[in-house]
Amino acid sequence: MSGPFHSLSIAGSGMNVYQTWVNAISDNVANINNVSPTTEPAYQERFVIAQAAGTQSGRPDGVRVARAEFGNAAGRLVHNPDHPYADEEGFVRVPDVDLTDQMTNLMIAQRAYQANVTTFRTAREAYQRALEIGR
Amino acid sequence: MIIGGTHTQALGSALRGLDARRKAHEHNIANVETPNFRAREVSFEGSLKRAIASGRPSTMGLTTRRSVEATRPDGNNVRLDREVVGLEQNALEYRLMTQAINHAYGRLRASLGR
Amino acid sequence: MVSPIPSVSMPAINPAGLSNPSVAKRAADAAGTSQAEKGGFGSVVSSAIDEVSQRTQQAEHAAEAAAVGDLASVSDYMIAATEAQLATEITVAVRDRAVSAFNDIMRMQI
Repeated sequence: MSGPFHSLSIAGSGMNVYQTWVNAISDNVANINNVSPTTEPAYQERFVIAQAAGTQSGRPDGVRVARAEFGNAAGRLVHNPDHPYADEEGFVRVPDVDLTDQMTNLMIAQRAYQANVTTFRTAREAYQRALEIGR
Repeated sequence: MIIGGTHTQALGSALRGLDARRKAHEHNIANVETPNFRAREVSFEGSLKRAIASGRPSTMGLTTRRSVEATRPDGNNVRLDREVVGLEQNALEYRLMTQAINHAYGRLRASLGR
Repeated sequence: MVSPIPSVSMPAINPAGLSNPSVAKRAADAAGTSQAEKGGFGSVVSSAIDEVSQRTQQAEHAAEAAAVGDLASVSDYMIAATEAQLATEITVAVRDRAVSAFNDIMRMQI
């Protein structure tokens, strides 16, 4: 049920999705230097797949996290023979995560989150003003 | 005898429903970290619609059920973002209903000449 | 200077009369037929009472729609409520005028 104050749910859905994205990016950045032996998978980059909500009912319902996806488990092979995990040829596996990419995404996610907070506040104020009509 | 008639009774019933829903939101938020806790959801709008149609709005019923939202590893399924937004909406809806009741009584008062 | 309202008086004075249009309308029509020309003061009161009734119903309908979650726009209700309030106040003013005029007329007869 939509209700007369539906814009708040829509803005709230945006805040939730972008918060989830920020969490995924933080996870990627925290694990960016994980080293694995070549016999094991590397840390896989976390992706958040967002999808418009309410397209079936035809009534706009904001956004939702459709699913999470994971990047390349093979990572990158780096030659580091002194590392305890190095294989016979001196290679180890590191995550296929690019720091610049993550920082760019972080800025996008934060900006989108802020924009949704603004939407929420603006909508709330509009509703409060509407409740004062006729006073 | 209710001077305001079935109209104010209907709005009063809605306030009862909104009040219960607000408490559910508060309870869910307080339990966001409780293992195996399932969020509670209150519904009353459908029952109120039928009660109004039957001419007896005070017979509206309240239903509380457990949310079927997916649980996290600790068994908890409270969606904090939704509960917080829900509280905001609830506050606005409550205000709208109290305004409507005041308007109804205001019209009666005006016709009394005050 | 306002004399007490005589008990044999217009039903429109009764607050219930305001929300019971048929009673008030009969009084208004009676006032109207005693006027020389059609569309006199009686019809003003009559149409004012119609306005109140209609707008009150609209406001109540919108409020109950909001109560059951069917209202799309808050301002729809708030505007309907304001209109109903103003219509009520205008009609009360018109009614009070009618009572006062009635009293003046009653006092004029020797």
